[in-house]
Amino acid sequence: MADLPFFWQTWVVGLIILGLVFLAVLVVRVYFEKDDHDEVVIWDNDLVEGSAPAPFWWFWLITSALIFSVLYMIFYPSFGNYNGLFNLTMEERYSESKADINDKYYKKLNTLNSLDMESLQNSQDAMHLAGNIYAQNCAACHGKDAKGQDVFPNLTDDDWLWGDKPEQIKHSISFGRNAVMPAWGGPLGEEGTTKMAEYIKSISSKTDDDEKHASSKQKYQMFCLGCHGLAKQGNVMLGAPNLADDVWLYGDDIESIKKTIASGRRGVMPAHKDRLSDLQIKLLTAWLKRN
Amino acid sequence: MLKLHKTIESNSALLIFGILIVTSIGGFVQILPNLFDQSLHKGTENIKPYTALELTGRDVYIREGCVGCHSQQIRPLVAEVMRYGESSVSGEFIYDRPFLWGSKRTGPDLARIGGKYSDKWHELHLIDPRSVVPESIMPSYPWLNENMVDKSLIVAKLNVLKKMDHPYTDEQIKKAESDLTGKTELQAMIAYLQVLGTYR
Repeated sequence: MADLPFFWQTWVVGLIILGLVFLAVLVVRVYFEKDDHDEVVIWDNDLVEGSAPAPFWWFWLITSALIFSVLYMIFYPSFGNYNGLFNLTMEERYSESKADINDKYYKKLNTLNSLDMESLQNSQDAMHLAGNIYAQNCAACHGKDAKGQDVFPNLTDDDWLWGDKPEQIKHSISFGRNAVMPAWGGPLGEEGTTKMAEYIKSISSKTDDDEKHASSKQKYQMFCLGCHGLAKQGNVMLGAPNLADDVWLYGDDIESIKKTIASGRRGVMPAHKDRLSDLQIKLLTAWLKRN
Repeated sequence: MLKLHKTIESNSALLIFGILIVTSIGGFVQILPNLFDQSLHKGTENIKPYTALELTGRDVYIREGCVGCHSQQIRPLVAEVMRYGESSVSGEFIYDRPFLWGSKRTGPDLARIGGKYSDKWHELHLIDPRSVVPESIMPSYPWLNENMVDKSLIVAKLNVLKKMDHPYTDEQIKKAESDLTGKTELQAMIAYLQVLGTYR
């Protein structure tokens, strides 16, 4: 926080001094000033109401509070812009604790900077750190065990929508990914969608039949080929999945496949380049590829 | 002394006045100077007022009491910075009326949640937190997906905020109602969550 300007500095210091003096005068006068008119009131002939002095432990309580506050202001930053004899400031405490963590965490991390993927994977320390980074940043979507859940892909298998090379994985983490499967419900029509879903499922189970799926096959060439490819192998440049394997991100039953075809899908991986350092991303990549 | 005491105690107006003076000294010292500290009133470089949809989401956030379990302030302590991201600065909150810093973390801090997860994750998580975070104790908010946002007050809200120096353009205010057309409370809430902490 910025230093107080002159006016407010005077205001704060003035009020503090005024408050302390007021309290000191009050406590002295209450305990040591002779009261010139101690009125004694008598009720109902014999009930006398006098005035008892305030208990003396109060005096010590208030006095020691006064002394404590003065000592506190001498040693700690609390009196206007004065930092106190200990010269402790928030900024300093912050950089101290940051230096501390630099020692404990980043120093260790930085020793890993020069290692290549393989040595990172062989280093227990590195994998431990990477596991922590994963738990904090990735587990909410991809699951604690990285096996994926709901619409978030499994990271432990060999199927990588956006490529399995370390560079590609790093890119996915740093810049995120936006997968767009357009909705084909319109062009295909209700019946066409059902037929197409059956055809797509049959590719995966290798039961596709030229004759039975002739019309869908033709439509595949028109609508699907561009992204999913001639051999249904998919395209890692577009995040288009392989349709010939048995990995189904959005479900492998006919209804799910129909939904995917009819209304499309939007898979979003958020970018992490502002949250994680390059080294942390490299560690994560090594951790993901460790098997 | 007793005389002074007697005067004060037997005159309630004077007593009230005295109490007010004494109890506000702390505020005079700690709060008042900050109100005049211009460095605390300046927004961050990228700060923008909430759009109609985000503002509506913010109101849903307030209505559902999210602030009771989630704070929105990252203190400059290393453990917090490491877990949640860069510490919060005052300039990020100039368009938060009232601010939602909170004081209790039953769930994690949300000051930098914007952009951390995809919209789809938020959707699944708000409707049923256990579906994506099995050990979560957060309540489910399925009705957010069923309720459409209330757009009857949005123009009035923006006008009030404009009076308090939130730089809304006339066009933004004119478009406000149509911006909310067809939006569910869930969409508004996600729009709000996705900008949290991104205006640094």
